Amino acid sequence: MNKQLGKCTRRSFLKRTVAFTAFPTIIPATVLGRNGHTAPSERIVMASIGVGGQGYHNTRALFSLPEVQYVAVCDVDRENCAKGRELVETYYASRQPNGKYSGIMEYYDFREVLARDDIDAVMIATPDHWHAVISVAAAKAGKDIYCEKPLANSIPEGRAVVDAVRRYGRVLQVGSHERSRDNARYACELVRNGRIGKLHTIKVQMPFDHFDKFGITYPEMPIPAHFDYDFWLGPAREAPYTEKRCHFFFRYILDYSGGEMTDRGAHIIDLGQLGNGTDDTLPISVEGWGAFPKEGLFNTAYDYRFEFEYANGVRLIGDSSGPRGVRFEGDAGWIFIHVHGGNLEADPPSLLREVIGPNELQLGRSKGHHYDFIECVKSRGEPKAPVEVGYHTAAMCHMANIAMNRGKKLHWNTETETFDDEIANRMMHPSMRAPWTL
Amino acid sequence: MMYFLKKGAVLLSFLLCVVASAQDGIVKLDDDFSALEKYHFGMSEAPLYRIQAAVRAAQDPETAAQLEKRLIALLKSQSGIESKRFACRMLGEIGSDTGIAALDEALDVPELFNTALTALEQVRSSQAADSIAQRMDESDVDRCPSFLLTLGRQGLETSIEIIAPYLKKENDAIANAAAQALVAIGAPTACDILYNEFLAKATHVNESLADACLTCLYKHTGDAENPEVKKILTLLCDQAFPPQVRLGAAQLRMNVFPDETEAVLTALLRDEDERVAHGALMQARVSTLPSITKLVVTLLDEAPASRKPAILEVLGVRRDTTALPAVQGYVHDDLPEVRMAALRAMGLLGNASHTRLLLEHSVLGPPEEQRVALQALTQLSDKRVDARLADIACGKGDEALRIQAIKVLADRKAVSSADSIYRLALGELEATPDIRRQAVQALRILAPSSLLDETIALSGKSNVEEISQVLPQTLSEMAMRADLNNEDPAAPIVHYLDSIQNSTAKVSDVSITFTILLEALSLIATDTAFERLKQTLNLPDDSIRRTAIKVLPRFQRAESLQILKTCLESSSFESLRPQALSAYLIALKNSGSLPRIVVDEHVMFAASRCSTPETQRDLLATITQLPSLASLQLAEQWIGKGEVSAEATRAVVQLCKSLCGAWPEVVREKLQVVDAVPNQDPVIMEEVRQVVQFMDSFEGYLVAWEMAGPYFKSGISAVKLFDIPFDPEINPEVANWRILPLSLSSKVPFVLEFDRALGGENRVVYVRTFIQSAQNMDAILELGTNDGCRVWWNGNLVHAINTGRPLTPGEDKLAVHVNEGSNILMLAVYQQGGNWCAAARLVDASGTPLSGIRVVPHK
Repeated sequence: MNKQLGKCTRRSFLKRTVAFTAFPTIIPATVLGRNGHTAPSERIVMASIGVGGQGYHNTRALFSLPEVQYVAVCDVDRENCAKGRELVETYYASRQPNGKYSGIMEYYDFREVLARDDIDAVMIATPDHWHAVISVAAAKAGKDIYCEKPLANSIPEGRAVVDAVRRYGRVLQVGSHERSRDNARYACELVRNGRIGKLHTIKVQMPFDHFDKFGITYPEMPIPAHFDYDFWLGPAREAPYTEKRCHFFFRYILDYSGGEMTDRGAHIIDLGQLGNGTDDTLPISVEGWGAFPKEGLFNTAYDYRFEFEYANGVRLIGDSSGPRGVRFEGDAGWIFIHVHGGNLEADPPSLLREVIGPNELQLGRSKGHHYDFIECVKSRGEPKAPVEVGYHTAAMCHMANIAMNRGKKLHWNTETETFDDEIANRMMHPSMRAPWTL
Repeated sequence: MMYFLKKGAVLLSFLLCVVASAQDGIVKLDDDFSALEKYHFGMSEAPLYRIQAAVRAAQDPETAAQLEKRLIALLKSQSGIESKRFACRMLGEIGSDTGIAALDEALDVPELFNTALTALEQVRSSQAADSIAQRMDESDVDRCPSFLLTLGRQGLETSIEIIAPYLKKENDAIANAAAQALVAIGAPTACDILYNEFLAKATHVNESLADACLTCLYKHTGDAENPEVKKILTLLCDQAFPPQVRLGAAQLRMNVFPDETEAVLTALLRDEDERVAHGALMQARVSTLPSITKLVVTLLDEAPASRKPAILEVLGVRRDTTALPAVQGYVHDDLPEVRMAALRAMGLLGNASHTRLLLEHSVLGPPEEQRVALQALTQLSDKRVDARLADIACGKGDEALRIQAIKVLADRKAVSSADSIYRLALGELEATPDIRRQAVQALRILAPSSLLDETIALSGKSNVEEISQVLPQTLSEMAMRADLNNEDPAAPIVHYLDSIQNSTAKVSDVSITFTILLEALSLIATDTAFERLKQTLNLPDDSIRRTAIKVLPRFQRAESLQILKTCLESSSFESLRPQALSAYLIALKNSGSLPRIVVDEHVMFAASRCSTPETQRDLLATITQLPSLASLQLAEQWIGKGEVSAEATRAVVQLCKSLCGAWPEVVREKLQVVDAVPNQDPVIMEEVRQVVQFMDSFEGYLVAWEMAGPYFKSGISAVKLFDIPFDPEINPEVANWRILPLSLSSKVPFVLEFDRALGGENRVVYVRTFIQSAQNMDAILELGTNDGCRVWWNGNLVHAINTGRPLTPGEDKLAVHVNEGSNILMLAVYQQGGNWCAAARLVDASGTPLSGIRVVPHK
């Protein structure tokens, strides 16, 4: 392990930052806001924290919005960081008369991004165990936040993000983009307006299809020179470096994520919450069964079934069967939302021709999850997946994972946000390796 | 619940090992603890996972205590760092005060420091806190914050006194950590200490302390009686603090002291710092004070154009209609963003009197503006809006407006307007053809069940031709959602058709009426609908029979194909032969799920009836979708027919692609025929080369298969389908066996891709192949399936696995005996979501593909 990288003092992180070109270039008319373009002073100035994987896609979706001006990217993997910078600069260059642009800064420590006064909003797409620490710091720094789902890697972390965002009046959109699909919103409107009768069961189907890497023990490897592994671990416990621990595959290790549950499951459970009208609360009990790898680096469940019970009597039952999606069952029919894609099925099929009237509950429509975030930054409105929504959805994922590990029915106290089981309560306690805290 | 019981049984058996007899359980982990002692990263994690599972499943104190004892022993042993880190983690989950000394000792080992400290934090007892505090006293400046933060997260009120002195340390890192620790504990006494410290240091801005105080204040919002609270909030609202702190403090101030809301919010909205003023819009959205509406309206007028959309949105969501005149003033603004924001706000604030204004925008504006105006119209909550729209729809005004009004009525589900809309559809009210068509479409949503018969009767009116294109869809949708007391949805239409035939109903043009109603029946597609359509074929009127023939292929059932064949053979359909043949070929193209034997007969019959180049081309296009030897032979024969030679050649190549796995020898032979044609198209030649190359890549895998299915049951997952037998198991002769086609675009040539061939989720496909052998021999069947499967060898079930899994060729290895003569291998492969595929081959003991066998897809 590279211990030198483990010390994260202000002085040391400043050393890690490399400024790529901060020299002024000739400012074209588009930058000045002429010819119908939005002037920079009126644009939302943004930076991305975590630009590999989904961060790369989010960055692309955001910088291409005319209301957004990107100025920086940040990643502890310098290769990813450089790719992210190139991505943004290439786009901006394509819009310049001379085909050149070089105004994006690279950072390797998110605190430097947050210290910049000119940045209005940040996109966070780090591994899950970093989401809460960075989101809380961003809120304290007065930034609006687009944070990938799950909002946090533990229930208390999620609560801390909610409190910080609300305390500082920030806009936070969780990357639960499935709830921005018109079809999904329409289906949930049908459920909430009683078109399937009284809702009694929500079936969450989360097939798992990444078995091939499970059950494998990986050797310790030298840390690549371009990768600040200790910073990558951050608040998580020390662990020897091996390639598969990081980047995409971190999601199958419970120290950094929650497996399929917090990965694609978070989207599906999130729609269950939307359709049930329980975005602002959590179920009162959870029971789970999970099959976990018997060995290997990855330790999240690959086959599972869990069952939540809400105070309103509705049950949310999930398992690893397919097709991927959520099915709302009422006493007069059912509706299934396919995730991803948003296709709908219903019984009776005529349900899908129903119209929601002006005096019924309407969930509104989104012009896109990323665009919705920018709109809300401008208007200070509530995005489609605000922080409480992200908290409750992520919390359910963690509750299910804990129940599967614990192997018994757990009751949840919505006031104290604790289980009726000491070991389960300890299991939801996040690791906060110094100097990181919430 | 059954599932839980089933899975629970597995779990229970495990728990019984660990829990039922604690001593016995621990003994069972002896080997695992021994392995753990020697563990280092890169070795198998299996023993660790078993110990972890036991820790997490520990249901009684005795078991937990025994596990703790062993973990403590390990922590004190000479084991490596990774073993000890694991022990620390487990003690964090299960440990009691008994383990504190061992964890405390581990703090001295630098590599264990963080893990041991986290474990002490998790133990969460006063003894653990004392241990941390003791260490903190002795620690250097660098480590002190870690101990403080740990005590804070541990959350014990008894730690407040320990932490408080550190708040006054000159070292910023320590003082800040102390503040964070106190706020993490969050008890009123901890907060009081923070308040006092903040007020004492009020002369300079300390953001960390400010954050801690603000957090405390949020936690105890009801604390209006505390005199310090107001002082602190006032200070935090000061311009010396960053905008987000000021906004947070102001919000809290409004919560705690509601009387100050107007003054505070007004000051914020007018703040010199634009970030504060803009941020305050969040509070303005939710404040219910009327005076704030007035202020926001003023701000709207003063704001630069770029900020107006946000302010207009705030006015909309406040739902205070006193803002309406101001908002309406921006509906005609020069800037589209401002206009659209105003239109959105109108949707939330407006009433029936704004119906026409919004309707005009939804028709006349730029496309995006039209969409926004339309959305605003559908949002208007004033119930009188529907009547206004109906008036416009039924009036004599502009056609585009009237059409849009009808659309909006449907979007608003304005069922009260159904009668008016029906009268428009009927032509009773003055209406252009386009208006009538729109009205008919709107009835799909608006018309109540009671209007179904009258709407069906529309088909018999004299002016029905104008609406004949849209009426069938409307009738079918109305029928399918009508409350018919469990009657078939087709029944009302069938009754009407009967009454026309009985002459009890008079219609203007029988032919048009039948055309409309038969098309509606084809959309309903129930058995009743099909039966009525069949009856219609016996009517004397050719135009009606023509319609019946045209819609027959829409009923995708084997009987349609057979009926059309009969029509082609019957002299009574002499005059309708061209229509019947065209419909027959369409039905044939849709017959891919019928048994191969049935389809082959139809292909040969169609060939005998297609006498013109046009129909022959249609048939060639059809049979490329129906891969079989019969189709291939037909296409090959027609290569010699001059006018369709090119199409026949293409059909041969396409069929060879699909059949190259099933009939490799035949395919090679046919490709040679194509290859031998002089001046052959280079594109065709390249395709021939690709097929041959593809056939050379099967690596001994079995690729000659027939398939049956897919089988599924609505609402039943593949996991449960596993227990349900279908035709191939019960009565294989009636199953719809047909060739499983291969695809040249497959990444792995020998993989049987059911998702490509069939698609769908939660279903099962059966595939079978015949292995002919000249001798008896033992072999191994190497199998991989995605997902689970069941396997029959010569009729005996030899393997079953009900799981979701990726395809790993050779994952299952089954010993089988190959008989001299014919052997049959049948697989059922289940789709549980994601990919759906399989790969199988027969090998000898050395793993070499079996020689001396011939594999064919059917006998």
